[in-house]
Formats: sequence, C-alpha cells, structure tokens
Amino acid sequence: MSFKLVGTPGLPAAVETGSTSKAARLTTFDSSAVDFSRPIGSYVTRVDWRAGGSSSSGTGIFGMVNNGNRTAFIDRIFLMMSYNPTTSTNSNFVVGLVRGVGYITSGTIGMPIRKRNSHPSPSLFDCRTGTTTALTITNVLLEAADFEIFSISRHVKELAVINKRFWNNSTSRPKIEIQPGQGVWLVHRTGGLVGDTLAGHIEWSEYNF
Amino acid sequence: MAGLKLTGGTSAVDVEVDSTSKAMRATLYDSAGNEIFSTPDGSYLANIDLRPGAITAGASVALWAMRNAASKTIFIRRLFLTGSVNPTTSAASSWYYSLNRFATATPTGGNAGTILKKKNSYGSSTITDIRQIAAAATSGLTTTSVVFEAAFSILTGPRHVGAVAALDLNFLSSAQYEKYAPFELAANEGFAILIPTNAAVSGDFLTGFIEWDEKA
Repeated sequence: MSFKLVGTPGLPAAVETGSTSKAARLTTFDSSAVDFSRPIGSYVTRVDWRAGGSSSSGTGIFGMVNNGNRTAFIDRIFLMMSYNPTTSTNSNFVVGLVRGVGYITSGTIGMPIRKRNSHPSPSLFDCRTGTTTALTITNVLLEAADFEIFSISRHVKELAVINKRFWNNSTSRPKIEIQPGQGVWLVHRTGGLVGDTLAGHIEWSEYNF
Repeated sequence: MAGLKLTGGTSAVDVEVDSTSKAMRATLYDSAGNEIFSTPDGSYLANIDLRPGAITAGASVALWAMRNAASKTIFIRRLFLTGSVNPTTSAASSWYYSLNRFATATPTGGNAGTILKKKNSYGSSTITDIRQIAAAATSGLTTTSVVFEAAFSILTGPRHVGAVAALDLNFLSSAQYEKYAPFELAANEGFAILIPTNAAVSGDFLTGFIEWDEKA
C-alpha cells in the first residue's frame, strides 16, 4: 500500500524518477523558514595595495560596503603581505581587519566579480582598493576592535601569505557577517611606507537572512 | 503488516530504503529546484609552468589561459602556485600577476597544455584549449578579441633572494556549497593569468597546478 506525502499547498512530495536512486527530495530550512541550502550568490573581489608613498596610521587600504539588502558572509580572505625595497628597515607593516559603517568615494573601484556569471549582482557591491594612495576613511565609523591584525617586519625577503577561511561546518553562521549598511575595512595600524604591498582577494556569499 | 510506502507525487515511484542501513534515501534540493549535491562528470588537473623572459606588462598580456567549450560548466576548485625569483641579487620590485575570467575569443600562441584526468576512466575534459607561454618567452599569448573581466585576485611578492610564496587558492568553503563556492566558467568562458601592471623579468617563476570539476 502506498501513500503520497502532501504539503501545505497541496503539492505531493517528489521522489526521484528516471534514476536508480528512488530518493525523496528534501530541502533544508532553519526554524525561521530560511532555506540555507545555498547562497543567493557567491562573489570575489581583489585587494591591490602597492604603496607609492608614506601613509598615516588609520588610513585605509581596502574597503567593501554592503549597500544592498542581503546579508554578506565572508568566506575567505586571501592576502599576500610583503615589502619590496632591498634594504631592511626597523619597523613593521601592520594592517587591521575591522568592520564599520559608512562609505567613501575615493580609491579604485575593485569590481566585485560573480563566481558564476548568472548569479545576481551583489548586495555588497561597493568595493574599493587603494592602489598607490591610501584611502581617506575619516567618515567611516569603524568598530572599536579589529577582528585581526596582520603584520610583517619590513625586512628583505619578508613575505606572508594570509589564507583565512571563516567556515567550520556546513552552515554559514561561523562566518563574519556584513549586514546591510555595514562594511569591512583593511586599515593601516602603523604608518605605511613605500614598498608596502598587500594583495589578494576576499570571497563572500550572500543570503536573504 | 506490510506497512505503507511513500510514493512520489508525480513520478509514482516508491521511495527506496537501503537494505543494510535501512535508511531512507533523500536528495537535497534548494527551494528553486536545484540539486545541491551531485558528483561531477569528471575532475581534472593541469600544470602551470611560467618562467618568462622579459615581457612588457599590459592589461591583456596573458601568460596562461584555458577556455571552456560549450557543453559543461567548469568549477575551479583550487589553484596551487609557488611564486619566486632566481637571480642571486635582490631587486627592489615585485612580481605581479592578476587572475581574470574572459570570454569572446580564445588566446593563441605559446605551448598547448595537457589536461590530466584525476581518474583515467573519466571522459575527456570540456576544456578545448589550454596554453601557456614557452620558457624564456619575451611576449605573452596572443589575445586578439579576447574580452577580460576585471581581475578577481592579485598575486604578488618581492623579487628578493630567498623570498618564495606558496599560494593555496582553495575556493571551496564547505562540502555543502561545493557547487556555489568554486569559481565557475560557463560555456565559452575562460580563465587566464595576466601581467597587467608589472613587467615580467627573466628569473620570475610561477608554477603549480589548477584543478577543476566539470558538470553538464
């Protein structure tokens, strides 16, 4: 004897046909009725800082602002940090990763790239990287504490690869969240010097949470 | 009592229960009807072996490229690269590469690359063209009519004696999102390594591999 499982709208649940699996179809929801089976879209943008002069502590290197209405979850930060003069100096190149509210109009627009070109345009669409001149971010209200501080000594051949992923299981919750109106910033935490280099990319996913 | 069988509303197929585990089979879908997990049609690798001579930088100067044919989607899972320089005197400059997706045309010139199947019984890759500059080349691939997107990543390091970078660009964020986290190439799209800003010099090295899955 067989029966069909029928949902609230009167639709019977599906079982795979035309295959050998004969598996029932399921979709995973959280208790708030949010489908967390996949993001709305996944994106990546570049970081491309090659200091052309000195910079003050507190100036910006990179910023990305969520101007839309989805929540962005940072999946990964991949950065290479180096100093390319051939003489070492007795100092460090120090960068903070911090969340904040506000936006800027300077810098080079680092276009967010859709990992799949058929994904919708990102909610977090204002990405800006300083290239040779630091970003003025005095109108951005940064949170009091950095998520993390990256640093290298300014010595010849110093080179750090920072490969940070922010997930640790199958849900998006462990990731850093960027709510609508918020942004994430890379900021000088000591004065910058010519030859400081910070490059790579940031990956994120967006959900209608 | 024989019990009740759960039957598909449209398919009229009875749900399968595995004989040993007694577990009911289920397949995960998102709300839009996309299957979440599915095995790829094939999984592949190709090497990246860039040791250029002096090459002038430019927005469309490509050193390595692969282009997808029209049949399947390419899911780039990972790039693993080492960047270094081999002169015995440091220079006050940096090697500098960008990673870009492209479309419209296929780069030419250089040397054709070889695609390796992770399992030899996989079908042939849908990548129809993969190529890189020859060792000591003094010009990039020919990129006439190729349309590059903005760079999605920058790789750079100092040209100092002893400075080497191991770069593990793994695009997966978790198994659950393996169809959403990789960088994708749709039909006729390609992926390239460019030198848009800093000229390549003899002694620059960028070597490693790229791995990807394919799914119709």
